[in-house]
Amino acid sequence: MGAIEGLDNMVNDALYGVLYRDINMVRTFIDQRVSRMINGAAGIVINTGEDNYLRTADAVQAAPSVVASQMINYYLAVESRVPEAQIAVGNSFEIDPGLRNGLLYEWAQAQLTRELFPGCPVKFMPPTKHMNGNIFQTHAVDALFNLVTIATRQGIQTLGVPTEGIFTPHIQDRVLALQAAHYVFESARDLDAEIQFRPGGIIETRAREVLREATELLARMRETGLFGAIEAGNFGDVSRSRSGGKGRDGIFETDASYLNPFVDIFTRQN
Amino acid sequence: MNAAIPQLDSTVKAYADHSDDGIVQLSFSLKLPDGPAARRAATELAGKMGLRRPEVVYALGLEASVTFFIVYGECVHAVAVTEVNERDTDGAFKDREEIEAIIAREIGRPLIVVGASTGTDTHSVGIDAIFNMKGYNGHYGLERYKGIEAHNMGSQVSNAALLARARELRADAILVSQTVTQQDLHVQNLSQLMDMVEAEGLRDDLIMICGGPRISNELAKELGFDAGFSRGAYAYHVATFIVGEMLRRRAEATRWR
Repeated sequence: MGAIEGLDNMVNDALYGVLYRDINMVRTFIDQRVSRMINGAAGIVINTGEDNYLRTADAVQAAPSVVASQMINYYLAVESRVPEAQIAVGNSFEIDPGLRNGLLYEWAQAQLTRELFPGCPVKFMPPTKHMNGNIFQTHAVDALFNLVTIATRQGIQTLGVPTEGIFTPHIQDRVLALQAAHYVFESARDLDAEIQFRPGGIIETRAREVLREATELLARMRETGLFGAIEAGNFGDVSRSRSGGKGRDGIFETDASYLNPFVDIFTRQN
Repeated sequence: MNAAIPQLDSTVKAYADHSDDGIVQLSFSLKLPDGPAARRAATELAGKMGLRRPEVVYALGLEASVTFFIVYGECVHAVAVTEVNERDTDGAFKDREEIEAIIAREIGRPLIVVGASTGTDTHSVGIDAIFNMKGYNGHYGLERYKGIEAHNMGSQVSNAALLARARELRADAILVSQTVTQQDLHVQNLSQLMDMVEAEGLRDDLIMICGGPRISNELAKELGFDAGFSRGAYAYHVATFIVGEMLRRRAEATRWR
């Protein structure tokens, strides 16, 4: 439907449906494979949903699972022949604003994502979890979010609005958000080219640690498999069983004579 | 000025710089192109709201025919300070350890609580804040409580599925979260759930609680729920209510036996 309507972006996450909609994991991976083939062939940028883990779990602790999930989503997309420039791995700015040096951790995560996926746009989602109705404070936090966005060259950003967490944004909230983002993007346009991260400093150390833990998580997953990792609650603190969830009765084993011409069409090498 | 504690039955006015100066800030948009006429209209509207000497300090054309205003003025109104509902004061709530002790001592079995963000609402942040082990802002969620079996079904759960799960688990309480409130969707959704609970004859067996940024205890009661929680509510607020209501119902049942 998105392809027919000519959409630019679609949410397309291999794990999201399993974790947050309780859709059977086998079913989800099959559906995701096919939908990614279609999106890849139709030129639609897919947006993965790692930002959700940061919202349901603690953003500082969940960081390695975000990186692991970005890698899983990336490779599943590549396998479905989605070009790199159409894979927008997800991230979000959800660290508790009360945390000392929280901005540095956000910067580390965003920079790490940027460097791990140089050919991909990154989908960067705004702070929501800790936004509490103080519209002025939310606007201030959003300014830092915008700063990290431009300084780490995130490709796709959902803007934060001052009234986050109160209601669906009013017209002035949308314009104020655009205005603030424009200000920060212009004012700090080439900041990224000016920055080097001090070796052994807080940002570099944090990025290194997150990457190390993500690597360990993926290594453990080699033994348990992806299904086992989901069952163990490694993503977003949510655990799902491979035999549970919605849509399980729609799964059939393919016969030796099974033929799906669309898979051939969509995965044909250009 | 002495920072005196307001006495009951005294009156208060808004305060910005001098005591009782009445100064308030507000912002709104009008469907008018930016210009002197629009600013005049905004000033006049603020005057009708009860602001003396309203002043548009900022105006911004959002699009060709919509202008946003930031206005300051002196609100002429004063209000009387009256006693607040006991439930809304924090002293009335018990902490996790106290709640766990009451369940062990006075209820004597685990309480079963089922929760979901219902309807088309995809927001799980509210229900998660109350349920998740880690909780929110340093307050553990219901999953952490000894003596509470907490089942969080997540978001986009239909009223029928929520109720079916509650029946299957023989739940003591249902928690419903509603974040999206466009066109009063939350009111329709919550009313439908209550109708279903009534129709199935489960009302007396279930403690019904709803929550969300735009839900008040008053609205919840109006819709037939036992309680409603809003911004700033944590698991211990909800758990205190469940335990209290459980004991109240039990006492009532014994009295009529």
